[in-house]
Amino acid sequence: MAGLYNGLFVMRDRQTGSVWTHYDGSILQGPLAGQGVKLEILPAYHTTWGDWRTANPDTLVLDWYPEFKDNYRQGRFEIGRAGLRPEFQRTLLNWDDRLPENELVLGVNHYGEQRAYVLGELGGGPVIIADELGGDQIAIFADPGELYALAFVAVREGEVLIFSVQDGVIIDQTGAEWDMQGRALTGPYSGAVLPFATSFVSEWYGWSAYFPETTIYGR
Amino acid sequence: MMLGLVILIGMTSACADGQGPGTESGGIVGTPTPGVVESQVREAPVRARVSPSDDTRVESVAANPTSTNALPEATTVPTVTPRPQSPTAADTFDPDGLMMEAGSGFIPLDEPVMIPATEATWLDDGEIVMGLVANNGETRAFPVRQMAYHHIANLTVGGEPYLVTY
Repeated sequence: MAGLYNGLFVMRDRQTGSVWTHYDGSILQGPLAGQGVKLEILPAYHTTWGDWRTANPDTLVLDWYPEFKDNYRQGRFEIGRAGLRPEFQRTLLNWDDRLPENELVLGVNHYGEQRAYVLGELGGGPVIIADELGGDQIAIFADPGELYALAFVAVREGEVLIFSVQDGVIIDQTGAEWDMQGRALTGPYSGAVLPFATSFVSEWYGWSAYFPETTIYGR
Repeated sequence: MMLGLVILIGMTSACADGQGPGTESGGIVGTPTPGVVESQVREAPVRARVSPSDDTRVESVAANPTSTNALPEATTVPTVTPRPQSPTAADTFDPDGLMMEAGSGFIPLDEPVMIPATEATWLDDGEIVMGLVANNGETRAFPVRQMAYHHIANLTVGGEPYLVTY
């Protein structure tokens, strides 16, 4: 972590000293700036450990480093708690009071259009939200109780997939089952993964600072 | 206080190879076919490198592939039209919003030790983690309460570099 930009963390690479934002992978300053170089954002499955290890039993997990134990938060990290440290607030270029600053949202940035989905307004258990963004039909796969949500493009072979949740299982209109990671478990597309629509869970202040044009789902 | 949850991979330059997006190794599986996003669906465990950020989309002018009235061949050649790109922070960079060294002092992780789930006895099921599915299908988890300190983990999975940030 090299500093802050617009209320959010920036980092330096060790080879060139360029300053990068992790919010969209672009370079703000330094030798590599202005060249269109960009890191690509992959899906970050933000969820509970119980949910993750059940879905991915072979997963490895970051070891516990005792030398940093005083720096690690104790117990469950309280995500989305109120308040913004002054140094974060000082760097903010845009303040948007449509939502509380620490409201947890899934921010989706798809082909020039951005929309925020308030996790707390999506329901309790697994839920699929069909929407249109950036000219595509997308689907939000969410389990707000686990603080999980990601967006995918809901089209296959030109046909829009219509998802629903029945008894906790995600199915499409043909009855094929899908998992929360956008992967078909049964049916003709079994094993396929829906294309990721760039999205991640964030607090509202950062999302709205970086994407002032964002809309809010349902409003 | 959360700073956003992101996993990033590699370093790419849009159209740097002159072939347009989606042609990098490990990228989109299959070739563009009629149907805008069909070609973006890939088979597990391969994970495409964020095809939605591509600035082009492939469209076909073929009205109906099943039609018995065959269209002249020229009309079925896919045409590439630009898709709107989202602005990046670099595009709109304002130095007033940059404060270097603020909040520094965290220690990033380089190729951190990763252990099997069964050995992580200190982790409660209710703890929030960031999960990564690598291009080779392997999975990794990063507890948020540790990443809220380190902020950065540089790691390699299946020979490819990943960056996990918080």
